[in-house]
Amino acid sequence: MIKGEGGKAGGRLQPPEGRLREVTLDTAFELENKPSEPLNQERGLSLLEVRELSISFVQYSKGLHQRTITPILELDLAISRGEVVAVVGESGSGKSLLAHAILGILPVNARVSGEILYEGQPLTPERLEKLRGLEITFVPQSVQFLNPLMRVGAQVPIRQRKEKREELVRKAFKRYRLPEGTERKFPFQLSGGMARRVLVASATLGGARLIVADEPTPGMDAATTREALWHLRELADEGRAVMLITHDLEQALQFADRVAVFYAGTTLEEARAVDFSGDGSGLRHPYSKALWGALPGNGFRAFTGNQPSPDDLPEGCLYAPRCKMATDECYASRPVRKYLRGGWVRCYHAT
Amino acid sequence: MRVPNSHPGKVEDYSKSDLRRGYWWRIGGEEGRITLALPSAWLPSFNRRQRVLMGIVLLTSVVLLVVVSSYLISDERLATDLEARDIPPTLEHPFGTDWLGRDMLIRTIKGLRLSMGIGVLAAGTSVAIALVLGILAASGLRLADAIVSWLVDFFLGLPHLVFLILIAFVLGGGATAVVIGVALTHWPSLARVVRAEVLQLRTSDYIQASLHFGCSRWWIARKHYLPHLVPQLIVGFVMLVPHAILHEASITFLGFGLSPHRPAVGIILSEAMRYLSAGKWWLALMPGLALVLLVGVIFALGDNLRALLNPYTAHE
Amino acid sequence: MPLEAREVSFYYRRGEWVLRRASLIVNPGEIVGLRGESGSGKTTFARIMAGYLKPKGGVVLLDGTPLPRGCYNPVQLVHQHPEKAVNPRWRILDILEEARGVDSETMELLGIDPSWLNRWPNELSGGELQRICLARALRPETRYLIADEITTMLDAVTQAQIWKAILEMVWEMGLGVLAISHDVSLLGVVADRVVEMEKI
Repeated sequence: MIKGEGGKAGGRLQPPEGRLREVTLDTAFELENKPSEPLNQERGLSLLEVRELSISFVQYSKGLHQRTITPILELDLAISRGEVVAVVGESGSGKSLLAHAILGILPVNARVSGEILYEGQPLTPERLEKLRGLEITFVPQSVQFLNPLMRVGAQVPIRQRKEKREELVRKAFKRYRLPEGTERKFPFQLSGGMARRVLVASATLGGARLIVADEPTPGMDAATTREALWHLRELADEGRAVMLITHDLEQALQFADRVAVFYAGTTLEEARAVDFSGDGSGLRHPYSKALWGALPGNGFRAFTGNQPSPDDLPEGCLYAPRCKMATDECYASRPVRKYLRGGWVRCYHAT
Repeated sequence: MRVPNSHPGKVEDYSKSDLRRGYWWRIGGEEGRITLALPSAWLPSFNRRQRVLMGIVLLTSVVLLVVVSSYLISDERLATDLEARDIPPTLEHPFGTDWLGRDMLIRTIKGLRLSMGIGVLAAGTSVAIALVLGILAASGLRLADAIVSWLVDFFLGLPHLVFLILIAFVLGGGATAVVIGVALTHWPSLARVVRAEVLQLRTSDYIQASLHFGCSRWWIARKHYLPHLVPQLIVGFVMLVPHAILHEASITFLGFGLSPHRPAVGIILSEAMRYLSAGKWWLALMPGLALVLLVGVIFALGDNLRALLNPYTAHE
Repeated sequence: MPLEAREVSFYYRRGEWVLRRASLIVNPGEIVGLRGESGSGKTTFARIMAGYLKPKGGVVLLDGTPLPRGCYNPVQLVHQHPEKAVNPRWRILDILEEARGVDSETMELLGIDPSWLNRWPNELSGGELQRICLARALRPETRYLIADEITTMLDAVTQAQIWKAILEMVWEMGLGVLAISHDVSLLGVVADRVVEMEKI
C-alpha cells in the first residue's frame, strides 16, 4: 500500500472522529476473501484488467439519420487487490459507462470491443451472472438506484436463505453504525449520510472482492464525503479492490493509491497518488499536469479548449488539439501505452 | 438491469442485429396490431425509425384512400337498382348489394368517410377541451385545479357508454349529439395527462429561469409548454378517433345517433340486422369488417406515432 | 447599489424553519463566498436572494428597492446542475436567444465554441452546458450573480476556466458575486470574504 504524501492535496486523512479501524475480515461471511493465484503474469496481482475497451452507440440525431458516438475509446485500466484506483474525469463524460461495462449492464444498443479480464480470465456474461452482486459489487451514486417500494434490507444482492441473509444484513449495518431497524426502512426514509452507509454496506455484504463505486459523493459536504470515502479505503485495506469513479481529483488523492486520468473516453495516464504533488513534475501526461495545476490550491491555472465531443473524436491523440506540445505525430495516430516510472502514459512526449 | 447483447472481445455489426428479429421485416406497430411482413431480402436496410415512419406513411395512405375514393365515387353509383337486389358478394359487387340494389362496397366507403368525419370532429373537440382544462388545472389557481380534478374523477367514474347514450338521447339524436356526447366523455384521460405534464414543467428549473429572464407567461406557454405537449396531443387525438368512430357506430346502431339520411356505418349495420335472419349475411359482415379494419389501421397508426415520439424507445 | 438580504426567514413546511433572520450584503465588484453544511439552507438562501422564492420574513433589496419582476432580472442565479436548467427540446442557439442573445465577446470569454449552437443539450457535457447557463445569466444588465455550487460537478480545468472568466467579468463590469461552495480552497482563491451559514 502506497502512502500518499506531500503536496496540498496529497495527504492521507485520518479516519473520522471516534471510529475504530476494523481490519480483520468477519469470518461469518460465506465467501472468504482468499487471494487466488495470479494468472496474469504481466500485471502480477491484477484483479481486474481492462484492455483497449471501446464502447460506441448508434443514436438517432433529429430526423431519420443515425450517428455513432464513442464515449469510451481504447481505455486501459488495472486494479489489484488491496488498492483503491480512482478514475478521475469530467462529470458525465462516460465514466459511468465504464462501471456499467464491468458489471455487464450496458444498454442494448451498445457496441463493445476490447477485453475485460477478471483474475486473468475474460469476463464473459456467463461469468458475470455468477459474480455480479457477490464478488463484483456496485456502489451507486444515490438511493435512487434502489427500488423505492422495497425495504432496503431486502434489496441487498446476496443469495442466502432469509434468516441467514437477515443476520448478515444486520451485522453489516451494525458495522457501519447504522441504527437498529434500518434494514426495515424504505429508501426515501434514509437521510443522506445513512443512505451512503447503506449503499456501502450492501456492497460489502457478500464478501465482495471488487467494488465499483460510481461517483459516491455527488456534491456532498466535506464531512460526509470524507466518511464515505473512508469506508471505501477501509474496504481496500481489508484486501479488496476498489474502483472509485469521480470527478473530484482532490478527494480522490486523499484516498486512492493510483489515479487513472480519464479524458474524452480514454485513460491518458495511470499514475501513483504520490505523483500528484509539488509542481506536478512527477506526472507524465501534459493533461495530468494541467489538471493538477488547475486546482485552486496549486495555482488555479486555466487554459483554453474543451474535451472533444464523443461523436466527433479527433484522428490522433485525443488531447492533441489542446496540447501545447503537439506535433504532427500526435495528430496522425493515437499513442500506445508506455510504462514509465511506476505508471503508464499514452503520449509521444511523456517525461 | 438490461442484459447486454455483446461482450468484450467481439465487435458486433449493427446492421446484422436488426435482422436478429428474424427473416421477416415488420412494418407497423411493435405490438403488431397490424403488421405487414415483407421478406427482408427485398428491402435495403432501414433503421428502425425509418421503418416506423414508412409504417405511418402506409397506414395514412390507406386512410386517405378511403376518404378520397368516397369523394371521387359519384353518388350516382349509389342509385337504387331494383333489378340487382340482394346479390351476395361477387366480382362485380365485392360487398354484394342490399335490398334496394345499391352496391354495398360503395355504401360502405361513403359510410366510413362519414363515420371518420364524425370521429375526427368528436376527437378534436375532446382534445381541445382536454387541453384547455388541463392547462387551467395546472395554472396554479388552487380552486381551478380542485374543480377540474373533481370533474375528471367524476367523468372517469361514470360508465361512459351509458352517459353517452344519455346525452345523445337528451340532445335528440343526430350528428351533433354524437359529437358532443363523445367529446364530453373522452376528455378526462387526456386532460389528466396535460395537467401532469404542465405541472411538471412549471416547477422545472428552465421555466423558472425563463421567467427570470423577463419572458411573459404567454410566451412561455407557447414556446415551452406547447412543444412539449404537442406529441402527446397528436397521439391522444389519433388514438381517440377510432374510439369515437366505434362509439358513433354503436349509438347509431342503438337508434340514438344519426338518421338514415346520413348513412354512416352505424346505420348500415343497424339496417342490416333486420335481414340477418333471412340469411343475407353480407349486409352486416362486410361493412362490419371494413369498420374493424379501418379502426385497426388508425390504432396502428397511433401506435407507430407513439413509438416515434416516445423519447425512451426512440433510440432503439 | 448593494444587494442586501435583510433578516430573511423561510420555511418549506410550517414550523420547520430553514432560514431564520439571515442577513447578508453583497457590494458591486465584490465576491462573497458562502459556506455551510449540507442542509443548512444555502440553496434556499440563494434562491431567495435571486428572487425565485419569496421569503416568509424579511426582505431582499437591490439598492434599497425590491427586486423587479417582468423584465430581465439584474440578479441572476446559476445552479449546480446545468442539464436541468435548459429545455432539452431546444437547441443551444434558442436557449441563448431566450435571454435575448449573447454577444461574441462574452462567448469567447466563457470559451463557448460556435459549433455548439446547433446542438442539443444532451449532446454537450456538463462543463459546456454550465458555460451556456453562465452566458445566459451574464448579460450587460446583470448586476449580481449568485453562483450556487456551479463548478462542484466539474473537473478542475473547467472549474478554473469558468471562474477565471467570472473574475474577468467582475473586474470589467463591476459585477457582484455570491459564490456558494463547500470547497474551501476554491473560495480562498476566488472570494474577497467568506461567510459561514449554520444549520438551524
